[in-house]
Amino acid sequence: MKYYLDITLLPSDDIGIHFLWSKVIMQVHLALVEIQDADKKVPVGAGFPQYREKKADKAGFVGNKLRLFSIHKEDLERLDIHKWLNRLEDYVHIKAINEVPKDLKGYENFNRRSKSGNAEKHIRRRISRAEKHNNETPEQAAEFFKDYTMSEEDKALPFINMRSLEGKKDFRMSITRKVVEPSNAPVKFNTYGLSKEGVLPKF
Amino acid sequence: MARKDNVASVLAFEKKLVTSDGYMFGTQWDNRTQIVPLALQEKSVRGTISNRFKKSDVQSFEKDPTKLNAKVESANLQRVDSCALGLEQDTLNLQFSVKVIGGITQPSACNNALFKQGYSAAANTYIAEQGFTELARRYAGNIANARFLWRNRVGAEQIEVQVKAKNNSIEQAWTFDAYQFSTKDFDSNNEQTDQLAAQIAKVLASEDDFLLLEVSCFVLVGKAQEVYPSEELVLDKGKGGKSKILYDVKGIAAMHSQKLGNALRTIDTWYPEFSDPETNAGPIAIEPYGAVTNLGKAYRTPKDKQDFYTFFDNWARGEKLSRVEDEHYVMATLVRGGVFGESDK
Repeated sequence: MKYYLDITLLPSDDIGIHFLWSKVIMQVHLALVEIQDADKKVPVGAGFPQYREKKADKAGFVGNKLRLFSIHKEDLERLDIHKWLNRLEDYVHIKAINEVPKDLKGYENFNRRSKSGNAEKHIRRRISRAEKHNNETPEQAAEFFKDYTMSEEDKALPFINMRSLEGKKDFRMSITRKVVEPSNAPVKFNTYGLSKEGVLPKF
Repeated sequence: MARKDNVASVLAFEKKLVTSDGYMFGTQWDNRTQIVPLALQEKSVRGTISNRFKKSDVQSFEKDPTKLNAKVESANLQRVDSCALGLEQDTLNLQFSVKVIGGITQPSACNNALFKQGYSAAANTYIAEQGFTELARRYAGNIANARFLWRNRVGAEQIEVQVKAKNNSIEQAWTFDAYQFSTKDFDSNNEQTDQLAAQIAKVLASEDDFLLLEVSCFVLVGKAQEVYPSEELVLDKGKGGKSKILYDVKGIAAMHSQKLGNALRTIDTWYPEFSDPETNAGPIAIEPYGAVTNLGKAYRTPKDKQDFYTFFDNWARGEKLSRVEDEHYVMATLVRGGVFGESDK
């Protein structure tokens, strides 16, 4: 990753940071969809420079900065993020495209974590696929998951509230961060700028 | 120590920008013949427990870990209010009025004649030198940029603000495209806002004139989208009570007048940290200590001698302030109104 641009969210009275995140990520997602290739992948990755994992007394938090990376400057130019955020201009600060500095603190990867979910979700899913499970009754399905609990680390992950455009249910997009080894393998990202293999410079 | 003979222990100013509550209606951007009041809807949702536990709870959980699991896994039933446009509506229409009143050179209550004389002289000097043009320009800017929409403004497709100004001598109307005016600064004014500002300034500088502004704002947010009326502060939630209560007046979803007023007087770009890009909070509302409650911070502290009282005590007794911006700030605080008396003990 050679080029990047920073988007800083500016929360104010009544316009909270989480509210802004859901608006901003939605627009970034739409922008990335515009430049996706045939496999629905994009050459632009998203990082959260102020990502904070859950500590004993502090909840996990994605911070208030979003950093978009690309190998080729043209890709960030083609994305034209200004156009997609122009209705949010009063609430974000977008810096110009810059070269990634030489002096790095390491490399990291951001990915989406589909939460393991609560027991009821699994029960519902199992019932909806009843023919796979020899037509269990709801009671049997509930029995199957009786000892299930959602994993603690999943509960602690920083997340962004996503508003569904299709009027389906809103959902939470949990973000994981891993420290990774540098690599120059070309990686494509999904239309949220996340990927399992992504390697983003940290500075 | 201030001299005892010019201390006003009773001193109050009425507000000079009086906002009404804002009422919310739904309509269509391309066809505004039907404008229907929006009502609140009540939702019952099953959330999850996500709050921190009290210290006492944590101790009892340590004794009995199963308690914690039971607590975390039990659903968190909530009843909340919400408000959204109808299925065929794509536009929110917010209507409110602002009354501008003159007569700022006279406090509405003051028990010390000497102080009152000194204050009136200082206020008259300000009017003669500045004529309220800068403050009025900013108030007009906040009407044009639709800051008063608060969360409803974020990411809206189009915003149109219609303003009608009425009093004995004028009847004028303007239409603004709110996206031409930034909420980060007040540099983007144009001829239209200048006209509106001129009317506001004239009244603020007057002895007893008034001006009524009727504001009707159309916001294209999208079909059936959620909109955000004011939230009522619930002091005692009680068991099973509603956890989020929105404001409505006679069945019409509404925004508090205080909230609209706060947006109109969000013009303070003169506080010390404004020039520092790291700590800059954008324009903040005019407040005696520059308090911004959601950030839990006061931007004008008595320690730094940047608060209203530090400026006002000197200025009202005939001293010149070092910067004209500080005078703007003092006058804007008086336009906001309040009780500013000091102890005469």
